[in-house]
Amino acid sequence: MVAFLARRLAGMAAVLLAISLLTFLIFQVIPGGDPAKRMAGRLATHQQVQDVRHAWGFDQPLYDQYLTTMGKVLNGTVVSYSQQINVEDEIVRSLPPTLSLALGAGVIWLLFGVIFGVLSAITSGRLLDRSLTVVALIGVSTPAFFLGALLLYYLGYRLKLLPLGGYVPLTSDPWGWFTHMLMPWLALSVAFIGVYARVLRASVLDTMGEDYVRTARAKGLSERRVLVRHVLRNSLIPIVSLWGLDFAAVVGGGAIVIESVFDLHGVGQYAAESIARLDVPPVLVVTLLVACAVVVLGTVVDILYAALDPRIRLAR
Amino acid sequence: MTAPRPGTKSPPAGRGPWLLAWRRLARSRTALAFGGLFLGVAVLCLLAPVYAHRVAHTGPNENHITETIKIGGKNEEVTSPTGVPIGPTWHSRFFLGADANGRDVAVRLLYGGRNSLEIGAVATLITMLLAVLIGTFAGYFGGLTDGLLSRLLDVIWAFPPVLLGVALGVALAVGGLDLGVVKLTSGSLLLPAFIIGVVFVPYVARPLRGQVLSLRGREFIDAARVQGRGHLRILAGELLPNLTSTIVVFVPLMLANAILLEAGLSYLGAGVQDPNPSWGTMLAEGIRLTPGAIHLVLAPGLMLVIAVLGVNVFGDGLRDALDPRAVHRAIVMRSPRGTQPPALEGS
Repeated sequence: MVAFLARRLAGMAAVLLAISLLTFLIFQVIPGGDPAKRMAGRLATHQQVQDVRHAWGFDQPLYDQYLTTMGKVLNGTVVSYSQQINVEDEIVRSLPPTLSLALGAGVIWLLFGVIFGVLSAITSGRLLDRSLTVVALIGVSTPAFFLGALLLYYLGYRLKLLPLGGYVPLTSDPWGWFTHMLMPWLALSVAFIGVYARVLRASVLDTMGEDYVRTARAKGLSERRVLVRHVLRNSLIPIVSLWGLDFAAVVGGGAIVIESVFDLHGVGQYAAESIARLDVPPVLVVTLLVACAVVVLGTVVDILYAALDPRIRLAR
Repeated sequence: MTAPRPGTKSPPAGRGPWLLAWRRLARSRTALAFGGLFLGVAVLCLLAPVYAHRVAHTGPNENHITETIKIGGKNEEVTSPTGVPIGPTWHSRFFLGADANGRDVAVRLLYGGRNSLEIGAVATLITMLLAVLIGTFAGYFGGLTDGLLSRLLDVIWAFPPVLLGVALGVALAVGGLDLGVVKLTSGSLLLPAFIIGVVFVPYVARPLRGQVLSLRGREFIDAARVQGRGHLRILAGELLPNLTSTIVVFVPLMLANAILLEAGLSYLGAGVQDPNPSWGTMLAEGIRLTPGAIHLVLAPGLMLVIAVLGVNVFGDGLRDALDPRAVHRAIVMRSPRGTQPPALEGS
């Protein structure tokens, strides 16, 4: 266990290092990426640009710039080029909407994915299974922002049932928070529900053929008990791992599109705006955050795996 | 799809797995119908110039803001003085209405579909090529090669696809990309195709690597090596045929995802650039104009869903056809107590 964690941590450090280097370099090599010129303004003289360049250390060697930037990232003192605001403060500000989105949608898609998947598996080949398959595939084939725009138009604008986007903090107005998050949750969940239902269906059908399921039936357990205690416990394993990774991706700004359709001002939107301004520090911090989330949740999932299934050992 | 040829000359000993898979696929009407639906959409989009010249008499980028058209004897403005474009007329001109610039939505939809599908197809090709190369090399050679290639995949994989796509899209939109052999200018459609192709590589390369790892130790590989075959010949002649069904299954899946990612990236301004139409850019424009003109959202959105759904349902049927265990599963389900359980997968 300790060795496993140590190896994972080392691997994570390596991935983070590679990602930070890559992000840093991408923004160095692209044309028009010179931050000094953009910061000095359009009408700046050559001397002014030079001054900015010197003041921000852009005239230092690349490895030096990289090291100072990374040092500031770790200290929590890194500021963005364009607005010169502390990046970590901005991310802390944009985390509540993103976390609200990820948690709510995560619960919805897990719940409905499991329900639809199990229903589909136990009625395999029959009408309900086939209808659910069609529904799942339609869900998988629909871009989240298209669905979001339709929800906004029909539920928000035409029927005036729900507010038209924006984020209300949970602490100031719980009901307002809920009504504002409902459409983003739905729009984000649909595709995931489709995927999870399909994966769980296949996984349940696989498990149904295992020896121990036959044993459970042979010793006279009820079909319901076999399903819940013996089949589901095992077939949920791939779902747990999927959920961990998808959740991490949404927390790390993977739901940019939904955040921007509903104007939630979350991490993803912050990242997208910073990318559009070619603003390296925020992009660097967000990508590191995503990578951290993915690796940490991946490790948690592997540990959960071992807890769910004693046959799996924590090795690579 | 490589259609397996019925073995006409071979003795009637056995039927190959490809023929069996083909027969299973031919039997699943839904899969074929939806595959046909996708092909229909693709053909329609390829015929975009014909529609533009013969029916709509306008191009995808021609403005008609100030013009009026006759519908059922009445004159109607293409774009109202307040800037609201005309909705679907269901006539040859502006069949699906106009957009904010007074352009014919139906014409743009077909041209945009051509771009979206082309990008999807090229991106899928890039993904599959890179993934097969990386996956087989990493799995077969192991050691340092595997370590380096797997870390590379880890790095790409650690980003959510949309975020990485946006970062690459914005970074490359300014100056284009110079790969030495090919040069992609900033407005080129190949640029988003390349980005989407790269983003999805780990999703295919990782499972392929795993499969190669489990095949590497098998007797037929040893036999080939004992015969003195080189690594490349073993890779191409022994390993690749065993990976074909996995690769084939991934193609529709990746095509669907590539078309969806193109839409997402274009929506965020990091995909297809103006004035080139694509379903994603059209959706983005439509969403910007809602609630004024919902037809600008519905037309490209529904077209996109139909095309992707076609690919997905076909891919689903293809997977079932190529995976004999899927049939086994169905049998297991129908008589749960009576059949042999499948062997435990050694993972």
